[in-house]
Amino acid sequence: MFQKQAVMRRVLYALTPIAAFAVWLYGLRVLAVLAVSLAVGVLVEYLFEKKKGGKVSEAVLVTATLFALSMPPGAPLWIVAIGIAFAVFMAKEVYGGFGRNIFNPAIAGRLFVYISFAGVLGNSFYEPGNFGAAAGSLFGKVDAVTAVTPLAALRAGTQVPLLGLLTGIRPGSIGESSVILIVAAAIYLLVTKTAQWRLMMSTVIGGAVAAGILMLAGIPAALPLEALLAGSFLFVAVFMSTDPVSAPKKQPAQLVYGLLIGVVVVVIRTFSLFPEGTSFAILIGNTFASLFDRQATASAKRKAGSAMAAAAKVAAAKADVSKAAPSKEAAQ
Amino acid sequence: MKKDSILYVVAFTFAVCAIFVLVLALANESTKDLVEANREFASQSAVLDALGIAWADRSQAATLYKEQVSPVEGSVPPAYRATVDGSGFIAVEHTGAGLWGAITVILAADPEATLIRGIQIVAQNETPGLGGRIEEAWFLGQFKGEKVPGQKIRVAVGAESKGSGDTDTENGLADGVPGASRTSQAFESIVNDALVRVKAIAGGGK
Amino acid sequence: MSKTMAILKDNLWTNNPIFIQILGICSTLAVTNNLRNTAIMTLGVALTTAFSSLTLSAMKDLIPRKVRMIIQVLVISFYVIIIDILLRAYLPEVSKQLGPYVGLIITNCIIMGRAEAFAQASKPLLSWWDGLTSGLGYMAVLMGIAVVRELLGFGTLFGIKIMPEAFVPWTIMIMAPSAFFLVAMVMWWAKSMQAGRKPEAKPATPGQQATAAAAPTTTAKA
Repeated sequence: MFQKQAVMRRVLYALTPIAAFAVWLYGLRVLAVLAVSLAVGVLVEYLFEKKKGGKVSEAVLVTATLFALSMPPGAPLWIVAIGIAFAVFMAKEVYGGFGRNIFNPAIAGRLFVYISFAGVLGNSFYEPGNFGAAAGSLFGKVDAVTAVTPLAALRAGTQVPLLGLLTGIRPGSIGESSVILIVAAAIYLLVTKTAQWRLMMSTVIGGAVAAGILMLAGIPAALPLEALLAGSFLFVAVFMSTDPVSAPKKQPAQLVYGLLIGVVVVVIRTFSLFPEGTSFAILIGNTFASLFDRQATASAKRKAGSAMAAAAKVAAAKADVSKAAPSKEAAQ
Repeated sequence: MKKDSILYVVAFTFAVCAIFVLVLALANESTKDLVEANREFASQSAVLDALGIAWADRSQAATLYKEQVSPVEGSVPPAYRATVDGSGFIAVEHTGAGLWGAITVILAADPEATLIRGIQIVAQNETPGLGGRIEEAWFLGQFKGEKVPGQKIRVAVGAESKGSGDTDTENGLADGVPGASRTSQAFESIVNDALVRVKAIAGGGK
Repeated sequence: MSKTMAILKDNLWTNNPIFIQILGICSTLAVTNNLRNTAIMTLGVALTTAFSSLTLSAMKDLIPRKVRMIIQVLVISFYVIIIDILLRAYLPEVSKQLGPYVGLIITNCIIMGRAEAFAQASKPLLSWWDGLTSGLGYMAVLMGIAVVRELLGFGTLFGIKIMPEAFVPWTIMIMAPSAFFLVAMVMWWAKSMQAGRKPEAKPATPGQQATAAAAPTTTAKA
């Protein structure tokens, strides 16, 4: 019943170690979140595709997995179900299904629940470690003592151990934790040519440069550069900004797109009331993606056009010379 | 006369305007007293509510207002002194900027401005259902009997706000309206400015 | 079908101001998170449309074409101000609640749309009926959206608690973006219902269907 998509498979392979590590961090609850997300996501897409006579894309598995991994570990399962249903329905199927959506469905779903249930989700983070044992239970307590995420801690001005950020043993959303695993996944995706390196690199550079400038400018609310390791910045740079459907296709457009996302993440983190800005940044990037593509095509055409015109001029000039010569002769 | 001639167009437009405006003026004039009475009742009941004086109907509100509340002479915008349950309170009307327009509140507090007695909103133009929810009982109720540590209260916004009301009256903290951070922040500064004025009035200012 | 019934059906369904004509969307986004405000606002719009259409239709033979829009705006604002005065005098609480929204009735495109499209060329009573039913078509959609938004956003209907205590309100439903989703879904539903009916009357040729199916692809790529 699934439409085979090799690219999407490889993204799933890249996500597997991250999910497995998350199970060790937060317990079996992670599997429940993943199961609900996958089941509801596939169901919604199936209901739609059945009507149109199409097949369920493997992309929905990626969407559902990414969505599940972007949830806080203690997120109530009904919120997970609402979010993924909204993602697949409103952000993908109403646009006509795979390949036609403007916005990244996983991000759209995440923002929908993030805005709707800010209070509940904000209190759904808990301390990681030993299959969720650090939080007191194998399944992870549903009303666990809320843990402060590194981003919130940095905002409050406390130091965060760098080692925790690198290994991922720190509170946060399910899949965003381990920098090491995400970088490994990024390398795998780049080597297999699944993801565009331009998108990934420009997003990271955009974020780093913007954070650096804000810090140097002495903006008091600016977070230190380490903040790029905290939160979901890397996860989003590797898995979300490289989404082949919602990102631009032309090379220069991809660079601008990534830079925009990186800068917006930092700006939102610094100046807005929301501690995390990655989701908003991706949506803003998505909004402009096709415009960037269009501009890139237009300027490429202009360049090609002027190059051709120049070539034609040269040719014409040559022709003139060669023409002029015989005419001179004729005059003589 | 031709319908498209200048004279007809001007005369017709003038006549129609005159008729409709006349009717509007009559309607306005005939309801003027009623509107004025409504306005007076609204302001008196807001002062009574802010001071925590219970009233049952319009006439009782007017009587209670006359008995218990005395306006401070010459203060603009109005300020009131009142004695409730044996202790003196000061109520001030205060206007500050909201998100869309001015928000006017009546705030009652003890003369040292360390304890808020109550707040009522007289006028606001915030988004109905969002910022407009500052008029709801759960929001305003948070300020009833709230201690004011360090002359200032704080309204929590964003993820910090539970959105259901902060029941602790000791912490000088209230929950903002979910989804209306800017209005909530504006309300915080309006309350704090009003508290400053309460103190000024208590010190004999206008 | 009599003419009045035809107008009723047209304004409520086949030519509904919201989901077919896409008029008056601004107020759809703004007021629909609260049933009471929606009810009063849409009632105000329905009455203003009805009576301004009636008045303009009665005057239509006298109005010079050059200034007809000025006269339309004048008549519409007249009724809006009358509603505002009446609310302030007799329903001060409601007036305070609605605040600027009463004045905003005047900006609703449906009112002038009906004055231009219908009242200009129809008899007064029929114009009144057309204005009223247009307002009702607008009201029906807005009330439907408001039910969903208030129920999910506050857990209440007309301010009465409906949802159980454990219900977590959906903040996004209080905010304007949710009206975008919901209006879009209403339009989608209504249009697919209407499209589903059409083939019975006039079956589309296979060629037409193929172009219709291909159209979304081209737009997505463009």
